Amino acid sequence: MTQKAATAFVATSTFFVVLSLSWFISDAGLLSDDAVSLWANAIAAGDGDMPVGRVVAAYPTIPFLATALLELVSPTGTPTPVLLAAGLLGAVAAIWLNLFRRLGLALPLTIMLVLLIALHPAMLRAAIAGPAEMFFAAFLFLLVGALYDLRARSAAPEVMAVALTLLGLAFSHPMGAAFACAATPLLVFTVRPELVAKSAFNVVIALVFPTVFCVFAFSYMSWVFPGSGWSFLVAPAEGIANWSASMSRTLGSGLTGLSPLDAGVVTFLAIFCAPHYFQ
Amino acid sequence: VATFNRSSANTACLQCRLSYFNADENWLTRMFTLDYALWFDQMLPGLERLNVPIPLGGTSNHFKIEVLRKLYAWDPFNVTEDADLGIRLTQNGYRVGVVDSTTFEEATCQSGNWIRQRSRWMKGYMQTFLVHTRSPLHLLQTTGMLGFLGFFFFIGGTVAAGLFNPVFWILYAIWLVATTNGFDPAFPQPLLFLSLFNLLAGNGAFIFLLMLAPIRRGFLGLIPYSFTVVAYWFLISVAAYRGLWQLLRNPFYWEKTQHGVSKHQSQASFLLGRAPL
Repeated sequence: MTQKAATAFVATSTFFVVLSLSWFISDAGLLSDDAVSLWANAIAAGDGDMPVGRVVAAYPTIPFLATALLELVSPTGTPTPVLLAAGLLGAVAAIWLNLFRRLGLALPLTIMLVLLIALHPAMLRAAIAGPAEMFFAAFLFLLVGALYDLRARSAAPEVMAVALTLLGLAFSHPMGAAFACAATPLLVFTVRPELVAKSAFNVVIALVFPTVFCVFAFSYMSWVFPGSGWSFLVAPAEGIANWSASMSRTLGSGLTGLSPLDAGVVTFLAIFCAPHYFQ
Repeated sequence: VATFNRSSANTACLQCRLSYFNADENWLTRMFTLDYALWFDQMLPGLERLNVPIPLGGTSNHFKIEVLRKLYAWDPFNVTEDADLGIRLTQNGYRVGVVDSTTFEEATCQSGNWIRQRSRWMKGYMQTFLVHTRSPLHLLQTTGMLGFLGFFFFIGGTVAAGLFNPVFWILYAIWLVATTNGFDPAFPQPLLFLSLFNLLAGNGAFIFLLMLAPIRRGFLGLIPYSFTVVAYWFLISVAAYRGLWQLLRNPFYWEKTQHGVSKHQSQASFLLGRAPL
């Protein structure tokens, strides 16, 4: 089997597993609220039933726009959010396969590894939850790679890659927006020390500019077009609250019952344990 | 010579990167340095790879003399004769390469002097555009589709942006301040969305590219100045209108730029213990 055939195999098999699982789950009456509301909004936007103000203020922006575009070109009744999420996981699986091959792993081992990761229950759960969670996972993966490259060589293409993946992360899921905000002060540690020594603040400006500018741009558009007010600024905060509530329902109340406090405890433990682990 | 030897046989000219030794002198020199960093460090290598005609910079070009003679060298009537020559090289099947060597020039540090210099460049770009679009089909055949689009975008687009930019900003300011709907008939919804997209994505993308431009040279202090680029575009527009006026009234007049006015010294002149050349 050639690498191209293997790429096609993992992408299509992942795609069809997600489709089948989504069909099975929806047949059993389990539907993700996020995916349903995203689909409803995308249909309304495609049919012209949604005011322009609400279209441009819709959040999470990337999954919404991608679903709306797919809805426009698909036959009526196509479950576009499921198709999009399945396609995304297939594409990410294909990227992983090529990445592992570049690292020198044997093809059969690579296929097995990629299928184990892509078909892991956590990944499948994200895919079934809708395109927003898949975009979030994809951009998080891309951001990690971009940060690694930035540390190795902090030139303009690397800065651009981090800045654009941060933008993608912030506009793909409310938790992505939270991650992007939380990561900002720490970005300085991913830049090469010689640049930090010259001007750490200015490098961070370049890294976060696309995200900040797009927040401004979408807020401005939601102000210009009647029907949404400043809802674009409120939407991510509401999304984080809803997401935390649904995660609490799924996973329980966590360590302390408060997600930010849990995150703080985990971060502290990670910082405390990491040096001991790597020794 | 070494770069020529490594380059393809049809490489007729090598353009060095240009930058400024007095970048930190004032706001204008900082913006000029950002402008050059974007063009020479970010754009030119890309244009070279795409084989898009490269409008040469006026300094640090290295030619194969036989090619230069064959093309009758520079056009003495064009006030950006270097840009024109770059287009003609591509049209005749030659390639312009970029050398990773930097010549540090003196950035014009006075606004009047800067506008005179830039108005000549704008007039020259207008001349170059008019000369080569006399026969658009010939231009398309000799430069290819990418080259053709690149020519329109980088030569025509530079001039058009300078001329139209203030018109659109004024329209926008009137709409914003007066909250009038008098422009609505002129802007049907698709055009309105396109204009809004251009306003936000265009400005955002240019500011971001300007932020990235100085990273290669480690001029990180210039990054925040990218936010002030709108004022720099205003100066470019002044120069564009001045250039247009001169094109109509005095097309072949060479507007002189006064050099040697910077308070900063180039490294070479510093080492020689002399005033800047």
